[in-house]
Amino acid sequence: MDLAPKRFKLRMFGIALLVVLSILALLVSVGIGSVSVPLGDILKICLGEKASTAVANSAIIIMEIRLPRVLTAFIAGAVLAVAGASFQALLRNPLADPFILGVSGGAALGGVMAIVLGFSFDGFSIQLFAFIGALATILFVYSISIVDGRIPKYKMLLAGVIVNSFLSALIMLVLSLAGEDSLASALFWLMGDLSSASWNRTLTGIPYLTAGLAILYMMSKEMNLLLLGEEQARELGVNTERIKLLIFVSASLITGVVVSACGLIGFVGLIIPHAVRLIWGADHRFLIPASLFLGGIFLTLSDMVARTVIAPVELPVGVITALIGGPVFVYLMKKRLHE
Amino acid sequence: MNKHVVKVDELHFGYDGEEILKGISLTLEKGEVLGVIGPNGSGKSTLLKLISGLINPWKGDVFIKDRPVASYSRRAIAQIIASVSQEIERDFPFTVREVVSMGRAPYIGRFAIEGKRDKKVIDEALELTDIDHYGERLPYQLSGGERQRMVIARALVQEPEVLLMDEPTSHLDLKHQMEINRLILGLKKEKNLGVIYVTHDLNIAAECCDRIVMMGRGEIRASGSPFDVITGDNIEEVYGCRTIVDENPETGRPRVTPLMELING
Repeated sequence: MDLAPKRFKLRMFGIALLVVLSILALLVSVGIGSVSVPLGDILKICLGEKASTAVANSAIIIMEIRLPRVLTAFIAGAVLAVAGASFQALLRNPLADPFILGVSGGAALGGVMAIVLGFSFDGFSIQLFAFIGALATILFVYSISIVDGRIPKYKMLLAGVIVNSFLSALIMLVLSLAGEDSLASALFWLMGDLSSASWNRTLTGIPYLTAGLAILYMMSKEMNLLLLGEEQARELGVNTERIKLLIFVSASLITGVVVSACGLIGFVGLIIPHAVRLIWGADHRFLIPASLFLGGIFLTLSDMVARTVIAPVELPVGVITALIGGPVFVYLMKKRLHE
Repeated sequence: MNKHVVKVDELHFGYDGEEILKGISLTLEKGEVLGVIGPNGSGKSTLLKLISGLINPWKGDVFIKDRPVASYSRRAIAQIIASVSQEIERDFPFTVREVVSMGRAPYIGRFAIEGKRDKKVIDEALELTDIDHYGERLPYQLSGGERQRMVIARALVQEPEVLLMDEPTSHLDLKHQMEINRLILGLKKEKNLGVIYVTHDLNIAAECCDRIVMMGRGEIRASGSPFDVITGDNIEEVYGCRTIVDENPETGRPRVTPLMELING
C-alpha cells in the first residue's frame, strides 16, 4: 500500500522502537524474580564473559530457568498477537481472536484430558494431547464450513462458535469428574501457564512457528484487500479461497502450538492488533510485524508481573493480561475517539 | 481482427436452478459508454459479475480482448477490468490513500512495495477525482460523494481498459451525481476507457451513454442508441410504467418524465 512519506517514516520509527523495547523487556524480565540479577550481570552472562562465582550462580538461574521462560512468554505473545490479527482479517471481524474458530477448545480438551488422566508428570504429554486436540478441531471446523470448495466467512464463524461451546461443555464434564489435585492444575493450565517452560519445549516449536509467521506475513497485502470485502478482493486480483485457506491453516496451527505449550492465554490476540491499529493504522504489512513485537513485549511483562507480584505464589498469566490489557485498551480507545 | 474489448455471447446464468439471464449477448468497445438499464431483478448486476469472471455462466461465453475470461488469472483480469461498486467495509481504519492505493495490488509483487510509478498513478487518480486533500482521512469522514470518488479513484489506479459501474450514483444528491457522471465522461475521453454503466436513471443513461441495452426478465428487450432504446413504448413494455418521452432542449437526447399511473396495477 502506498504511504505518505510522513506515515512511512512514522512506521519505520515504530518498528525500531518496538525492537528496542522488546530487548529491554526481555532483559528486565530476565533480571527480576525471586533472585534479582543486575542488568550488568545479565549482559555478562548473555555474552558468555568469565565472571565471579556470585555471577556464575546467577548464570544458572538465568540460563536454565529465567531465559527459557521469558523467551517462551515473548514467543507466545508474539504468535498470539499475529494469529489474532490474521483471524480478524480472515473473518473481517474486529472481535475475532486466535481462539475464535475452536482451536483453543480442542487444545484445552486435550490438555485437560492429559492432566486429569495423570499424564502430566513430564509436561510433554500435556503438550502432545493439546496439540492433537487442536489439530483435530482445525480439521473438523474446516470440513464443516467448506461448501463447494469455498469457505464462507459466516459459516466458518458459526462452525467455530458451535465447536467451541461444545468443547467447553466437554471440558466442564471432564473437570467435574476430576479429582481435586488434577482439578487445580487443570484450571491453572486453562488460564495460561508458562511455569513449565524449558529450552527443549521452546525450541521444538520454533520451526513451525517461524514457518507459520512467515506465511502470514507474506499474506499481509492480501489481508488488506480481504478487508475491503471478498468480492472486491477478487476484483483486485486476489485468489481469495486459496489465500483464506492459507491464513486459516497457518494461524490455526501456530495458535495450536502455543496453546498446547502454554495453555489458554487470553486477551493478547484480541487487543494487541487493535492497539497497533489505533496507534499506527490498519495496513497489515506493518500491523503483522508490529503486533508480533508488541504481543511479545506485552506477554513478557505480564508474565513478569504474574510470577512476582505475590511471590512465591504465581498467578495465571491470563489473569494479568486481562487485568492490564483491559484498562490500557479502554484508554487507547477513548483517546482515539477524542481525536 | 476483433476490436471488442468485451464480448458477451449467448450468456445463460441463474441461481438455485432458476434462470436469471436467458441468452444475453453484447459487445463493448474502448472509448464508449454502454448503458445497461432495466427493472430490479432483471439481472444487470449479475451480468457485471459474469463479465469480470467472479461467477461462471451456465452456458455461453465472455471474451475479454478476444480471450475467454476464464482463461485469465484473477490478477490478469484485475489489470484490464475495474469495478466500481457501492459498498466498502468500514470496520477497519484504512486511510483514503491506503484504500485507493490498494488498486495497485494487481501490479505489485509479493515482497515489493509501491515504486515511483505506482505513486504517480495514485497521485494522479486522487487528483483527477478531486480527493487529493483527503488522503490521510478515514473513509467514514468523507461525504457520500467523496467516498464514491474514492472508490472510482481506486478503480483508476488499476489502470483498467474497462470500467464496470453498478449504480455508482444511487446514494448521491443531484450535484454529486452530476460530478460523477462528468468524471465518467471525462475518463472515457481521456483514457479511452470502455465503460459499462448500470443505472436506474433513464435520463442519465440517455445523456451519458453512447449505446444502451435495456434488459427485462433476463433478456435484452431493446438495444441501440439512446434514441432507439429510450422510447415510451419500450419503457411501458419493460417497466410497466407510462411515461412522457420528449427531447431535452439543451442536448437533443431523449428525456423521460414518469407518470403516476401504472399499467396492469
